[in-house]
Amino acid sequence: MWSFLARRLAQAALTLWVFITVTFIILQLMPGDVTQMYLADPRIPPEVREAMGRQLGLDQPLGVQYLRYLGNVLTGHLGVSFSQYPTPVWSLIAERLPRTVTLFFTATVVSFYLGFVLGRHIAWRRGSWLDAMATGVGVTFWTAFYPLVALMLVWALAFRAGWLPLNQFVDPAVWRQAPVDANRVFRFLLINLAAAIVVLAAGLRLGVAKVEGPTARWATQVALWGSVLAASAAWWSQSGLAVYAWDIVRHMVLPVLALSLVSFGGAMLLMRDAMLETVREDYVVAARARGLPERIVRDRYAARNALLPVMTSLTLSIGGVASGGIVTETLFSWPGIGQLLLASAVAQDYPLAIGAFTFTGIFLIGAHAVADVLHAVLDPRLRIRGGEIAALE
Amino acid sequence: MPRRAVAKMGSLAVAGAVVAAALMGPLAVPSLAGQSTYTVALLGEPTTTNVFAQLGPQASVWNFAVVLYPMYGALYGLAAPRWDLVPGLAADLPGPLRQERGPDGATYWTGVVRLRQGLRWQDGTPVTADDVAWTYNTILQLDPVRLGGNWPDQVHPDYLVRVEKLGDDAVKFWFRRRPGIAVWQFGVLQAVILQRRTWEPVVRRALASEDPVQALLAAEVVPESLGGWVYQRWERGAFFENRAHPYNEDRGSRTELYPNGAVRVVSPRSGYTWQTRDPAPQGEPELVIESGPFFDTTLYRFYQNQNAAVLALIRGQVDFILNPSGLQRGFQEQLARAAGVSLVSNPANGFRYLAFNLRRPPFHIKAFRQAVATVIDREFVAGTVLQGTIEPLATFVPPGNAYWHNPDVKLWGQGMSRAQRVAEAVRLLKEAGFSWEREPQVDLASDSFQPGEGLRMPGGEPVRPLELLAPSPGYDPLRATFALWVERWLRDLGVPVRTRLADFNTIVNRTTQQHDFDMYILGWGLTLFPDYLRSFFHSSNAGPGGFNTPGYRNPDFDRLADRLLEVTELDEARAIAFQLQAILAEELPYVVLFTTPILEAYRSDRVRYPFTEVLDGIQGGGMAGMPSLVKAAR
Repeated sequence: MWSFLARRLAQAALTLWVFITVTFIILQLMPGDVTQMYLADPRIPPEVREAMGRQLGLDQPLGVQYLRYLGNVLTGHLGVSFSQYPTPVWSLIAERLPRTVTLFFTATVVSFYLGFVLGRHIAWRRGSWLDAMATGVGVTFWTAFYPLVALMLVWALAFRAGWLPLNQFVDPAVWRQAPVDANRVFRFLLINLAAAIVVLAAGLRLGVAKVEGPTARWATQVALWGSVLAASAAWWSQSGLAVYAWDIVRHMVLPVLALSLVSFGGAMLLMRDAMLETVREDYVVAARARGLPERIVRDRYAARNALLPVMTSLTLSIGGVASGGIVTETLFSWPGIGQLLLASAVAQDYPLAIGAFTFTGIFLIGAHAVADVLHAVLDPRLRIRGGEIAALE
Repeated sequence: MPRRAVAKMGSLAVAGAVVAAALMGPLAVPSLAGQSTYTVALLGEPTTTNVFAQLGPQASVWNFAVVLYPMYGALYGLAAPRWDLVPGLAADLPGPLRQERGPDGATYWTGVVRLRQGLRWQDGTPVTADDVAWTYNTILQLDPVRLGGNWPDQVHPDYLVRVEKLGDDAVKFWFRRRPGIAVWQFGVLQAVILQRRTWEPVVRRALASEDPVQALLAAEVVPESLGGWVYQRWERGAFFENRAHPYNEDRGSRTELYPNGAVRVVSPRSGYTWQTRDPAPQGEPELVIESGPFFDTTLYRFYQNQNAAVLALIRGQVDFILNPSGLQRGFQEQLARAAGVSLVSNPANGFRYLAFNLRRPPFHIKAFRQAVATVIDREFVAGTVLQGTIEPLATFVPPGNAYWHNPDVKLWGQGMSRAQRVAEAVRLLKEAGFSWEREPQVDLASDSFQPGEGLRMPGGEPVRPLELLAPSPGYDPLRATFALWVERWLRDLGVPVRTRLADFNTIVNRTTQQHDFDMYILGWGLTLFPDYLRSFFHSSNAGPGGFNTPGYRNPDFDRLADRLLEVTELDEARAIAFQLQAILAEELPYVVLFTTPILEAYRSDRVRYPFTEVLDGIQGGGMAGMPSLVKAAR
């Protein structure tokens, strides 16, 4: 096992190095440099641009610039931004990360949960009207032009109906006298979300699973969910920040809805296909033959084994939440990592672009490694031998 | 009831509760009732409140809009909409420049500026001569070139040596050579003034560090204010809020603009009065601008796309949209239909141009450039092709910059039909010795022509294939479209030219650094004082990285352009600017093509501006939505 993990980590490090190097080369291949942002102002003489270039180290040979940057990455310093000189790259990422992760993590969880539940259901009732409708709706949104879907939602729910906030992530009327900044509330929201997931997972695994009898299990589940919600509500209430957290949640509804609508179809179809594979397996037939209730056969025999590809996909999607989404962030005025990446690439702000790419790359590559390990751990047909995954036959 | 049904109903109830609560609106928040707020939508966001960074590497319209313009002041400023030079912190116009021997025995040019009394920073302390002198001397000490961005233009270190405090109410500027109007009135005297009390400890710490400039630019400083507004709150990524300055002595002051060009400033609260002496105010003013603020707070909300800002404006969540390039025309119809919203269009102080590489044939021949200028039909592209989304412009100083614009320069092809343009261009080329394999045939009677083919140089050799660089449609569809028409018109003359639509950076690199081009189309944003004419066309700027990309060299032009920086009288500077424009209109290192009008929208049912017809629009010229001048509509 340790050998397998070490091998995977080494592969991830190598991939990351290739990723950083390719990013650096691509950015260098773009014509011009960041000092050209001064070219539009005729009052700024060329010597100022030259001085700026020297200040940013652009007068150094390419190899030196590359080695300097690699050194910075290895020592955990992402350097300073050229376009917002001398703001550290890390502080720019840290400013936007909580906003991005909160939004995209929530949207990912919601869309996968929706996709999982619907996919499981429609596969079990294949050919029913629900199957046709859910597949039709899911595929329609999945293949729809996302900006159009988002704009229509904004227009209908926020602009015309006025039910939801129109753009941005906070309402200034709420926040003008707030005792904290929004990022702090985003961080608390993330901590709350993570804690709730851990408690729920532990509770379901250690508590609910050991309870005998369907009614008692149901009551335990309700109690667990209720406790988590009540504890969260109590904490927010005593913190005095509930109004601010609630304002952020209100602003999240539209983008999460838009993201979930266009992406739940993928998870649903993945789950549906995997379920259709597993329902034909011998162990499912055997479970039915033993006279087990349909729900037990569906949830514990078919769905549990069909979950693997969905889990892999979910893990990779969660790895991608740190990179945000340029379209979503732009359409909903939710400035996050996606926009930071775009702006840094356009401005040829190498440290910021490579810093942001590296950061999101670590998340993605880490997610791949986790997905590999998860797959090996969860799939009983796979075993690790000599640092490699081997399939049992 | 079955357990599953209970579960489903429970889930639905929870989901419904969340949605209902989301629709319900925010929970209770501290009340701001009774506060009036002017709300501006910004299509970008500020990055710093540190004025050293704002005027240095982080210079951006968003930083200027929320901090620099509403909070900082200068000794002098330009009063919109006529852009008259008026005192800011100064009591009167600067005294005459004199030659004087310095403490080191050298001879210097000096000028004295008297300061207004009674102006206060936001902490209540007075604005003093010490603040003024310290600001200039500190910037000089820090090296403005290293500070980057606009700093060299603020203090002109090649001219200014130091600033000396003369008692509490005056400062003396020491120059190593005689500063002209561009350096003096339109340069050094319009630099921002900082509060010594706020910045001295910051600068001291920076100077003690390993890299003083980096340390200074990185300092987090709550901006001190002597303008109409003070910093209130910055919620990164969402909004920026300023509140009215508590010690603003100029609240309620009036700037009166007279038809004869005179200006009078009256500040009842401080008792300050100033007026121009030549000309003196006569009769009734044509415009009186009252200074506020008239709102308690200004709120700047950040939007990442125009659609969001437009929807917010229509719903009344913002009063004005600030975007340097104006609103897209696609929103015009939607906004025109919206109740309570008014649209205003103003010319931008800038131009898009076609530049020639005068280092290469055939562009080194003036008649060829004149022929190209003659066949370019701006009105046709503006009116027929682009349906009024651009304004044709042919002069190097736009007419909107009325004081400096020369209305009598040669305009090639003006008022001619297509056939007449071709006939005139053929005449110009023939006179210069050009010939054709097949000469364009023009029939003026029927106003038609047959295109030519195979233009030959005066020496008889064919004109080589030429390349016209222009930004791609993704970057600017207007310039891309114009380039295709220029190509077509040149082909009518038998010029072998092909348009290459390229990435902006590629064009900039090839034209400014490598000089590897025949023709290109790009654009400039301009300043009011037209010293940019020197920047663009002085022979000293023709090297790699310089702004004189065409490589234009004319000793007469150079002499006049140098003189423009030296003269100290406004009238003389104007006469020189007119001559420079006349030379350029004849010599044509560029052909100016068009400008884009700035379309702006505001809530006319909520706010009222003292004027809306102004160069660069309501947001332009340092006004950034006029937070200190705008009043509530009712």
